[in-house]
Amino acid sequence: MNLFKRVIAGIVMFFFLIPSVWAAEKQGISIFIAYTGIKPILETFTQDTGIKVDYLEMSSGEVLTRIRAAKGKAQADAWFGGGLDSFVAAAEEGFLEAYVSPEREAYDPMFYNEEGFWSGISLGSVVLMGNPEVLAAKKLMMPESWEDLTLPVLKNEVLMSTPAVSGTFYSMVSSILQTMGDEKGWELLERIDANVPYYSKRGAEPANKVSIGEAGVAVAPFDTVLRLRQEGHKLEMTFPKDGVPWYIAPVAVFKGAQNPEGAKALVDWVLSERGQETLAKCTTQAPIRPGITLEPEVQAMRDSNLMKLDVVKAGHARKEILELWQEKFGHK
Amino acid sequence: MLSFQDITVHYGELVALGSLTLELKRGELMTLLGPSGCGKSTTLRVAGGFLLPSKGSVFLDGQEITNLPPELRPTATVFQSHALFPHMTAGQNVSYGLKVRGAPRRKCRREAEEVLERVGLSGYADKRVQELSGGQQQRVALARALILNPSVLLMDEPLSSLDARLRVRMRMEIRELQRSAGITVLYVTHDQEEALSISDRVSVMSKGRLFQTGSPEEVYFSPANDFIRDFIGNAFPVVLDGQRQLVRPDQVCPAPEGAFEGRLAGREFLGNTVEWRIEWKEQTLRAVMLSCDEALPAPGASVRFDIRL
Amino acid sequence: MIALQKSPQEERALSLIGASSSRTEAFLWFLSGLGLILFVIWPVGAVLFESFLRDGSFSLSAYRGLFSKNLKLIGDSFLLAGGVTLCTLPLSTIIALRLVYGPERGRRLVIAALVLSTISPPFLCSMAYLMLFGRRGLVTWKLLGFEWNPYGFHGVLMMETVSMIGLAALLMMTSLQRVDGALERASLDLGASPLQTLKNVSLPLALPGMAASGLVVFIRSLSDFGTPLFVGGSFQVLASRAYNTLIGVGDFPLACAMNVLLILPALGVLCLRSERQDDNFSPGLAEARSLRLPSWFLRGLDVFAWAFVALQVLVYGLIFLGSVTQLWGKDFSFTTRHLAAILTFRADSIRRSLICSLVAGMGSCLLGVVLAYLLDGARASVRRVVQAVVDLPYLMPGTFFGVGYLLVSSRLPFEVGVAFLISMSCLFRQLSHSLRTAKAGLAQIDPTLEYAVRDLGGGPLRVLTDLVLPVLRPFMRLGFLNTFSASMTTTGPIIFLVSPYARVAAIELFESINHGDFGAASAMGTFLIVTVAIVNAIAWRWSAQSRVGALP
Repeated sequence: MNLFKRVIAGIVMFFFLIPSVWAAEKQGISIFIAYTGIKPILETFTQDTGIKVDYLEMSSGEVLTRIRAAKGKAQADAWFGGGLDSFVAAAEEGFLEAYVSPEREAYDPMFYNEEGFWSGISLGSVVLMGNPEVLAAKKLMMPESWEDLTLPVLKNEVLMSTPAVSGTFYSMVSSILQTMGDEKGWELLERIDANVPYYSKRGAEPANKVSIGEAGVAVAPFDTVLRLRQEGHKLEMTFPKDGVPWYIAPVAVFKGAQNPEGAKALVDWVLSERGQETLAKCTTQAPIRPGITLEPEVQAMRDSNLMKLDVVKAGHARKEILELWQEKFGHK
Repeated sequence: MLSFQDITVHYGELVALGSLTLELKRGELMTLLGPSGCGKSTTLRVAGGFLLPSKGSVFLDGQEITNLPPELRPTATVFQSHALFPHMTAGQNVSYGLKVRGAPRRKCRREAEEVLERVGLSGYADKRVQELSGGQQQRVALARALILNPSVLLMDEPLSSLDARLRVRMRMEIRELQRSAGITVLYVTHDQEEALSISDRVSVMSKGRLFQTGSPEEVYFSPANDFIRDFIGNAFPVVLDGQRQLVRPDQVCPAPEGAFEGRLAGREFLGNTVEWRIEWKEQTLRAVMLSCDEALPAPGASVRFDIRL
Repeated sequence: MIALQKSPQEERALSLIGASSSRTEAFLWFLSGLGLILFVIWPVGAVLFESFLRDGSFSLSAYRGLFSKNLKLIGDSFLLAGGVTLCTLPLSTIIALRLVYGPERGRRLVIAALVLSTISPPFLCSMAYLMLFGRRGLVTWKLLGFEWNPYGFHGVLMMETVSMIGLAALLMMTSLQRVDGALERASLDLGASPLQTLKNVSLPLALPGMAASGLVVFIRSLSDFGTPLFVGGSFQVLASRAYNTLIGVGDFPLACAMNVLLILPALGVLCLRSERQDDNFSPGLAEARSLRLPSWFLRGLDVFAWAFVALQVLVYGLIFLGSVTQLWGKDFSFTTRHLAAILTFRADSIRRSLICSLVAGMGSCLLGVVLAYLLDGARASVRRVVQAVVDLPYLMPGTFFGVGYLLVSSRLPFEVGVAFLISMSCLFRQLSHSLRTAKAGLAQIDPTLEYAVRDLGGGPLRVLTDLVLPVLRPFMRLGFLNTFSASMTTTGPIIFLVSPYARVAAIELFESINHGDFGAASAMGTFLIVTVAIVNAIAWRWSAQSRVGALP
């Protein structure tokens, strides 16, 4: 009986322990995040507004899949950062709540959705990142343009992700196509492709792998390079001379949010001067609101030769571009 | 031909076998008899090479084989549980010893069939061992050992898993095979009847020691000590003329003119024999006789008997 | 005596409650049937159902050309799974042989390394392998000075093989241990050399166990998508492509349909094998064997075993060191910041992980026993169907099983707790393993023992507490530990179930890896490994104590 009693006691104990975990407390708001340096930003938000925040990092593709699987049933209150294309798709499929923030008057209309489904909060760019040790060992120059990436000496040293899984690489591909035109754009991508050993199936991988020396050069988001540098990695970075692709990180409120007021407060706050200044301090993306003082490094990015783009158009063209891309490079 | 010289086996603190010295003659069937835990199986394992003795040597035809691994010894064992390979047929089991010696397949097959015939299993070569009855499995195990023409055949309680009738029949068959082929056999059993009926010589063991070796008649009629008298003859203690003696039931003979008189306290009918319990001078004696010789007294009646020491 | 045992089907091992059993049994059937329907059939069905929905209406478009378009992927998937199985089996057999026939010295260490390798935190081990053996790996590049490309078929093959050896060798060891020592003695006695005995007797007798562990390896490799994503480079398999189709391309119906390509063949393979081979687990340590293999042979085995141990020491050493180093590769100064960060910021996730894994572990070993008992008395057809249902979640890539839970739970009119969903998904995903172990345990109970308990005056409950549970205890422990370890480290099935306010430790680890933050990732990894190891130790300790306590 000894064992039996113990088993029973164990089970009973369990059911006492469980409720605290079962019923997760839901005060404040919950958000899906794909944004670097998020922690201090949200702490400031909670300080300013008293609204507690729980968050989970998920790539925008994962968020979209998740809402689709849940048939639009809200999985969180707000969505912070990630590829604009996913936000565009989510808005079209009716997963987002329209909210026109009073703060958005200060913004250029190209950075927000007219109906209020999403608003851009900061601008990131796509740069080239190199591992100096690897480059030195191979006697390679750090590439300085997209054209440089096609040099035969860089064979197998260029890491990129599949644009299907990574907003960064999608924006690189779509930006190149937009500025160069389809024909020349695809031709350039094909020549770069010759140097790419394979396309990573996770967005963060090229930068991580280059930082531990698995290859020489990665196409990487600007803020990732700075973060890896802050952590102590020695990395080189160049803004491509033939145009820097950029993208905006949006914020949105989910339809059916449990705490829509809290989510809207977050949107207001992050678009406000206070919020944008916090972004400037905590991240290495460039806040969009005019008149915010940027860190010198970020200012340099803002001043680099950013391509002339219609980011919303890029968001709409996703399916088409991906299909073509899949056809050309999908085997890698 | 097989001889043990001063063999000692320790299992940690426990002495499983203490200075055993024993010699087998060519062509004889010797039985190691004793209660469980007496060391008889240990002796067999030492002979087969499964166990290295802590001390002492084993010789076969004058050659020392103490440290020879089992696969190099010209001995073959029939195991208690038969230890037939479940993933092989009867024929494959029997020819296994030839196969590992590199005999060609056809020869293996032919010899296996021959040996199976010798043990009365012709036509069974392709049967799976699971399909065989207990007695048939026993024969396969025997055939598997015989095919190697071992110098010494070791048998470890080979009949213990068979029913009583089969046991009697098998032991006769084993004895006949052994005699006709002139094989030397070391046979382990705890069954005294089996030991007496099958052996040329019997060695009685207890607690790791060898007490007596002799023909079945010798150990039965002239036991070396009380233990053997008890173990082999079911003897019981009686105080006779002020002296304590061990008496076997067959030494107590009921007779109308007997020298002693007691009271019949109980009767046990065993088929061909019958056993009486007789109370005499506050002691209980047992007497055994053929059923057909029994004169049926009433329970509690007084009976007369002799004690033939 | 193996040969003489009755097969478990012939005679029912137990009739737990005897004549009055029908109601209790019906109740148990009802409970476990309900569980399987709710937590396996419904979610898996929901995933498959999605494959027929295109823009909200019924469509077969996902299946059009599914087979012909993916022919190469299918081929590659099976090539990889077959290759991994072929590489894993000999290597794990070698290590298992070392454990069973080799010297006592060092055995525990090798077993510890094997067990350790089965508790691998997601992605972290892959990362550690890359840091050691990648293009700029510590060993391959810095130490040996050669550069090679680990990305591709060969990389996936090697990494999966290394990660599966532990489990396969442990399974193999138990089946070798079950080989009757008397048969080996008989073979030696008949003149076979130790190596001949190994080849002709021991290995053939252990074959069913080998086949079983080969199957486990095959199926795991088939449904593994993490490794191909990480080191596959341009080499991809069905599981990883299905993941990409789901997350990247966002083609829900197609991604779900691709699962069919994975599930059907795996189910087919499982059904082909006979049921008798199931009972090949047996916990417990090896008895000494009289089969003395030649020392040169044992030394050869030793080389492999210790090479494996060395590899594990390297990988886990790197992880442990990484957790107390500022920045691996750049700044090697000692720090406790990563570990401290876990306890301050991640305590809640850790608590949730622990509780969910304990619930999943206990639930899965209990349900495993109940199902094993019920199936024992069921008709063959019922047994096969239930077994197939239980196997389903194990066969599909974890992500899709999780998607199934999301599909189902979001359709419910009421809210279901996140922790509950996580627990149940882990419980039912590992149930297949728990059921097999429980079956093996039940097969060990001689029906006459039950009669003995009843005969001596024990009621049905006594049969359970005094006979069934004590005998099954080691098997239940095995089932519990497997589910617990898997639940602590899994990410696939729960990535869509965790929510911002209910996170678990493995997800934290996953995020750290995505950030390229090896320090934080290895700190969490270290924590997970230590936790699982402690729970393992407690479970062994606990059951060892109860065994002594059970003696009069």
